[in-house]
Amino acid sequence: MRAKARTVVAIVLLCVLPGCFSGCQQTPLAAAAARGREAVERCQDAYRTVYDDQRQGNTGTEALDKAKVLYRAAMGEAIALGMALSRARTQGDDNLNDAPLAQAIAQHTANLQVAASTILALKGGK
Amino acid sequence: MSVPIIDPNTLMLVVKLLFQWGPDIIAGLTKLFSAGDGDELDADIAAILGMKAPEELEAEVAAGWLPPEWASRLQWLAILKGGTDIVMGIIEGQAVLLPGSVSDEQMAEARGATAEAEMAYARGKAACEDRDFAAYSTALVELGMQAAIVIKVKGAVCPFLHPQEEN
Repeated sequence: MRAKARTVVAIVLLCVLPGCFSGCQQTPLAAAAARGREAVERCQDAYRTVYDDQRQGNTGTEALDKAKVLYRAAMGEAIALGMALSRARTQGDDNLNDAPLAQAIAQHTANLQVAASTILALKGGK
Repeated sequence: MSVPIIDPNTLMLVVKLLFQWGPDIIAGLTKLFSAGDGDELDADIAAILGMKAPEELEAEVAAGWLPPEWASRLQWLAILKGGTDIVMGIIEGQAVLLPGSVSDEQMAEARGATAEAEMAYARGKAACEDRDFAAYSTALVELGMQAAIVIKVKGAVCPFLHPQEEN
């Protein structure tokens, strides 16, 4: 009986462990979406930071206005990125084999990352 | 006499079964354990598409230094302004994607209303900071009216988003 019980445990472990590790792997599409979300959150944090700093009198209104314009442009990038990701999702393109779509996703994400840094750089400006 | 850990015949059977069914079992379990990936992907895409408008972020920051009721009022103004901007973005997007679908008059009307909404939002925000309920109410009504104009223009230029009822 004990031998059979061990056998059952061994089978379960052999089957479940690879499944667990495979489940931890992200598809390229999921990884791209996670990167995009992170970039969006960085933009939001950057704008919050500049706005808060302006409220405290350290950043000027002109710098805040520039930050707002940049942030609105970043929102456009986010919508384009979201639509591109949705398209890949709808097509079932988990590995981003559609090269132009993959390139667009990478470009929008890069633009969002640049926007976040540029907005944050306005903190303390006039 | 030592007892074997696994009966040799059972071991052979296990090895045979693993070779026969192992790949299918692993594939099934992989799907089971990665079932949440799709949800997470959808959540990431929704978060990207739902990027907060500057006004919403400003209201969040203001919530830290305004009394709760005024923070809520400012949040409401921010949602209205943010929504107006999103609808305006749809109109501008359509004008670029389908040239000629938005007339100059319609674009001017929508842009004018958006600019008025921006000013109403600024007045409402100042009213929240001053805790001036009368000024806040006036600004809220004005913002709502301008938002309605932008929505009206969107309805006129994007009829496919407002399917007509069949007679």
